[in-house]
Amino acid sequence: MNSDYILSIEDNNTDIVLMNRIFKKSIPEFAIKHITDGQEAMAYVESETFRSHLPKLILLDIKVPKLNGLEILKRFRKKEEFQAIPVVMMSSSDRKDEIEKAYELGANSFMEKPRTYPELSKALPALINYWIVYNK
Amino acid sequence: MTQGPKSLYPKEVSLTNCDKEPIHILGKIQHHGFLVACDASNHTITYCSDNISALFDKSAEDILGSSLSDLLSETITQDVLKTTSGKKSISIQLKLKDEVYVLLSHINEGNLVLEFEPLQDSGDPYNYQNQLSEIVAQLNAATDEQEMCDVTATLIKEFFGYDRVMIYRFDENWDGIVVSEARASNLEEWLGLRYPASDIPQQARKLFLRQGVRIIADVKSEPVAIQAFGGKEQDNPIDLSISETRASSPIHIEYLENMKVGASLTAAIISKGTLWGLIACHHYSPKFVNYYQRQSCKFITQVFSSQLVLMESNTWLKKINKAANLRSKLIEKITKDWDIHKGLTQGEATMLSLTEAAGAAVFIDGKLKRVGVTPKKKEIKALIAALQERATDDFVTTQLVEELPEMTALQEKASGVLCLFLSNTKKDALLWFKPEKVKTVTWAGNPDKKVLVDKDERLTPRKSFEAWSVQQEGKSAPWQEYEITAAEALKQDISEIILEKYDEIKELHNLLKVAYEDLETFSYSVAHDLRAPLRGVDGFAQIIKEDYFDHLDEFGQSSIETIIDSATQMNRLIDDILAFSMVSQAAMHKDSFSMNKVVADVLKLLAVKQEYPAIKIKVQEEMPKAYGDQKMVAQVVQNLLTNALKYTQDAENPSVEIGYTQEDGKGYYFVKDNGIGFDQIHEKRIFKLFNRLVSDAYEGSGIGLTIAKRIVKKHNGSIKVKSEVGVGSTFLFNLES
Repeated sequence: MNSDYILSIEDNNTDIVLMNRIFKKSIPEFAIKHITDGQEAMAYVESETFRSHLPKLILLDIKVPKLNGLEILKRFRKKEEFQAIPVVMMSSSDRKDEIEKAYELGANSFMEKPRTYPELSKALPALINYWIVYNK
Repeated sequence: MTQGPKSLYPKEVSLTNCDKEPIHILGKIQHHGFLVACDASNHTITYCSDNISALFDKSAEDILGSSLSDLLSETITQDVLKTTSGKKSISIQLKLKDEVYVLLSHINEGNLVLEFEPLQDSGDPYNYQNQLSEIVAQLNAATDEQEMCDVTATLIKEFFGYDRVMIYRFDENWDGIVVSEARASNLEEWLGLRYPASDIPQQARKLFLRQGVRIIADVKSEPVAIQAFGGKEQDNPIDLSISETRASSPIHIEYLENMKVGASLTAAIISKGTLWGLIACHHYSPKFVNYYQRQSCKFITQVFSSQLVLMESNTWLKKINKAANLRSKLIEKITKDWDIHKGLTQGEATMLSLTEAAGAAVFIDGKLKRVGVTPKKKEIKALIAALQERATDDFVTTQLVEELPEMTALQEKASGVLCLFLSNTKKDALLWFKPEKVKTVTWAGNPDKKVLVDKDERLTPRKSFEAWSVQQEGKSAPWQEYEITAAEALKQDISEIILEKYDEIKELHNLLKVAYEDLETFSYSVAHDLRAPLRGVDGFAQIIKEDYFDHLDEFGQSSIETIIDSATQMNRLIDDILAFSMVSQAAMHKDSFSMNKVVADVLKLLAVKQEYPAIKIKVQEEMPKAYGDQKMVAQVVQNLLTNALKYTQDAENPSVEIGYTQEDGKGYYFVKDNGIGFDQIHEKRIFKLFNRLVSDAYEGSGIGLTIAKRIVKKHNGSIKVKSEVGVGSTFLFNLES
């Protein structure tokens, strides 16, 4: 696993399938790894595997089981060595309090999940481009 | 009395000040009587009547200063000395100069007063007893007040043989009315006649309370003067308040003479300590009724009084019981569905039945409900407003216009008003109304001319007692004690119910608030949780469309399109539901803003030019600024515009106009279209949730207008619509009413 990859913390199976397809079709240069619950995500982040191979971007769903997205973000951002990794918070809502909280805890972007597949398939590549390709 | 002799009766007394006439110290007794008075402690005779020599062969001068025992035999003296102060008179029969007299003795202000009057009894004592028990029996058998009065008048006339016997009743102003009469057939009828209060002045009424029964044996006879020992009687007048033979005031004598009355008997009817009325007997020639007969008469009045009290309290009790029953029925009704207005005014038992009023009304929480014959709603509200201004709490009147002259419109239906406020804030009230009772009051003589000035410029009582009728207006029947009691009890009940209800509502309100908040959260999360599966539906349909479309036949292809369309519609619906729940959740950030800018932003957001190129959009320049939550108001504009665009796109020369207009003195922003329109009868329905008037040919969730209304309401504003099928609709709204 030496290729550039995106870490997705997302529990919704449909979204996972859709995202995989979009990555395969539109941004094949990036791999995507999914983790489906909060605890697992934290365990992974603290593992040697993670440290030795950092993702280019983290897509973090705000509502995941066991440990919610905001909590994961909070713990993640405490670690000095991970500060440079952009985190995009994703949510089905555009609730102001959630958005504010996310930025406060160190999210780099907040994205309200697009409602339809066509929108999602436009939004994801644009996001990747912005955070990875442009910032290079 | 500390007045000097000159100021005493008669010269200075006139009818206007006859309330001050010292009728108990006239210094005279009636012609038929004799009087001796001695110092109660040493028995020295200090007063005697001028005519005393006719009884004792001693002149007044001889008697004055001597001892009582010099005048009377030892046994009589012994008996007389048993008289005690404050107690009833002692009566002794004795024979003087071959005639039987009744000696009456009483003590008043240190004087032992002895009065002699002839017995003159020709009646058979057995028959007399019978008659008396007959009267009592008949009085007891009477079923109502009127019957009692009639029985009494008739029997007293038979019993004593007066030409005319009247039962005379005082009203609240001490005017008297003849409520029953028994008279000799040749006499004119006085029944129903009214006598002004001044005919029986206040101090005369006071004496009646003390004495009970009084006679004037011969109106025309000259009263007999009383001599005092060692000086003029006027300097130290003897108090004859409880004297039986006391002379009447000259004014009263003149009054009787004007009525052509020769003798009279007056008996007080006392009920619950106050003077209820009189039994007034007139004779057109002299007539004497002896002491024992007068005592019988007194006894009759006592029976009458106790019967009256019994009857009144029975009636009162019955009415109170009835009212109490009715009240519990009303309360039951009210608590059943918590509707005070309905409970008090609808159905068989209403607040009206609690009293003898003709109409009633309940005014609670600004809502007025009426029952029976009442003034108009507007008039009642004006009355309540006027009463709220008054310092006193509850209000009872039988002559409203007299008290509140501006209420002339209410005179006919509500001259009588009983208004009870439910609390100190005087916000809520219960009212009862009694109509004006135009009645003819017949006075015995013109009461306004009761004072006449004779040729000596002295005031005299009126000469004419011919019936004098006056039309009485602006007055209702009186409010009876039981009516007020019942109304007050109802007020108490209702106040308690309101308090109870208030508590319940408060609790309900809290529960509702929690439930409402839960619901908001619920609809919010539901809407969100619908998104993900919907993205799945849409997403996989899109994938099939992208990758496998060519493998599908025509039906398969259109099915995929339908799935995608449905998902889009569902997404829009979720948007609207979210927006709807947001309206009540969101806090308002009020500010002043330009409506023109809001409209321009919304037009841009909706991409109107691109999406609806055919529709002509007209926006009024420089609309007045609005004050409110700009984001929310933008939502209103957006929803109204979306609505207008949607229903106008298929019209010929479609156009949508946005502007500001005045209507009924209020300003409104409006969105007007020339689209399909709808029947105005649906005006209310159109603002209801999920209520769509049109077929599915027009896309929409049926929430947009509901949201608009909710936002406008949150701003205390109003929203309305005018529409006509095929012509178009105009939605108008403002932000504060």
